[in-house]
Formats: sequence, C-alpha cells, structure tokens
Amino acid sequence: MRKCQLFFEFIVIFAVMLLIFLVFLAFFPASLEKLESTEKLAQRLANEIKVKLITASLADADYEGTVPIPSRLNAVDIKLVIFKSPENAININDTDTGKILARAFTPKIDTATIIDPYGATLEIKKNYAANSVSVTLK
Amino acid sequence: MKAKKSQAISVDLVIAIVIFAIIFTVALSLLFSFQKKGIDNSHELEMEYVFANLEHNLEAEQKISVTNRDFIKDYRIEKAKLNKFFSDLGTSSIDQYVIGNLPQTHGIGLEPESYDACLFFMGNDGLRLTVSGLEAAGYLKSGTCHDKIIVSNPCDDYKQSISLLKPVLLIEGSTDTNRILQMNLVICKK
Repeated sequence: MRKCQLFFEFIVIFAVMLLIFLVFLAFFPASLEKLESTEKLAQRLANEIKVKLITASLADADYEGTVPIPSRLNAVDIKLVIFKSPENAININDTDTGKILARAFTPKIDTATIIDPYGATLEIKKNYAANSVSVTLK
Repeated sequence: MKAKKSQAISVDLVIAIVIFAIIFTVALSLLFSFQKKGIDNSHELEMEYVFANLEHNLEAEQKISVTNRDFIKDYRIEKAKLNKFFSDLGTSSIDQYVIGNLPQTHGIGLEPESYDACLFFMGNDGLRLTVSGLEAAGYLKSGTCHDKIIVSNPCDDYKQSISLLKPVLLIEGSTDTNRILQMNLVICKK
C-alpha cells in the first residue's frame, strides 16, 4: 500500500513539475528570440560604427561621419560606451541590467569624448594632418 | 503515522526535483548549444578591408622611412617594390601589415596575434608568381608561407581559413609586358 502510494505521489509531483516546465519552455524561446534580436540589432549598430571608424582609419584626407544612436533597441534602453586607445572598442549595454548587448573592436581611437552618455549622435572624425581619429558622443 | 506519511512525500519530492532538474539542464544546454553554433559562423566584416589596410600601412611606412616596399597603389603593382617587399619580408611575418597596423596608422580593429597571413600572386595560367625566389610571403605557425604553400593548404593546422583575392595590374615597364594578376591573401585564424 505504502509503495503504491509513493509511486502515485511521485507521478503526481513529476507531472505537475513537467507541466510547469513545458509552460516555461513554451514562453522561453520567445523571450530568448527577443533577446537575440535585440543583440542582433545592437551588433548591427556596433558594426555600422565600426565601418565608419575603418573608413576614417583608411582615409587619405580629412573625414567626418556621423551615426545616429537610438536611445532604445527593441524596447530595451541602451547606452554606448567608447574605449579609446589602448583598448579601442565600443560596447552597447542594456541600461537597466548593464548586460553587454554588443561589442566591437575598432581601429585605434586617439580621442573619445562623451558629452552625453545617452547621446543621439556619434561623430567620427579623422584629422589627416594630425593623423588622429576622434569619436564624440553628443 | 503522520510523520511517516510526510517523510514519504518528501522523498518523492526530492526524486521528482532531481529528475526534473536533469531534464531542465539537458533542455537548456541543447538550446544554448544551438545558439553558439550560429555565433561561430558569423561573418567577419573586417576581412573586406585587409587589402586596403595593407596598402595604407605600406604607404604610411614609406612616409616615415623610405623603404620602397609600398608596391601597391590603386590596383597597380610596381614590380621593383614588390621584389623589395618579398626580399625584405618574404620569410617573416606580414601580419602587422595585413591584419594589424604600423605605429603611424590606425588599423581595422583586428588583432594580428589572432591571425597569420600569406600573400601570393597568380597569373592567368593559374600558376603562382615567383618573386625574389619565393612563391608566397609571410610566416605561419609551422614555418614560412613559401615552404607551406608549395606542399599543402597553409591553414591546415588552424581553426579557420579565409581566402581573399583582388585583380591587379603588374607594371613591368611597358604596355607590352604589363599584365593582370590575381593578388591573393590567405588568412589563417588561430
């Protein structure tokens, strides 16, 4: 009797937990997909900045380019962080969680000025005579 | 009697949680492994700029000290300068020129430590051009690009290989002898 009861209780508990797991699994891919698409959008933005920086790096004349930075990506508040030489990288972070959504290693950045960390425009400049690449977020 | 019943339930619960945890872990690890595969196959956009980076680095080097190794300019290859480049650097690493950057340049955002590069030229006959006695310039993990390329794929013992090519005009002095070549860069990812 006790063995039978033990088996029955096990089946009931396992079935309840499996049900919870299946419900979780049904919603989890959607949240995962959303996170993935946010990361993809962030990576696309990081690559756009990187391409502008490469263009500046390889330019044989003065160069100036701008990249509009949205404040939100896929309903996620973002913050752009610029690391000048010797790190030479850009990070796109989730403002709320601090999670890095995208990272890109860039050509050598001589000067990086952040007027507003949540700024709307990124300005990339190359001064050919001084042979310097600068990035300003304003 | 009551105590015994509650104990039986607790054992059940532990067993159920353990089995559930195993299934949960396996399912999650499967999900994440599928995700990782996607990341590994991503395209490296910097590779589109390696030829321009090489040209830019050579030009900058020429401005600092007259080495006469700046063999490429706007799809045109100067044979004398190409000979100089191959005789000076043919058997040493050219990663800094192709992947990285020289002190006066800014690079393309790639770390030369993560890659090895080989440079060679091919004619219309499909044969590699011999420059200063070498079929390829550069240095790999297991020796020179020349020694490796004549027997096998230079990136054999690397994680990934990327092959890039660009048509160029080899300037040999007159319009009768100038010819179109294929400039090849093989980049091996460590």
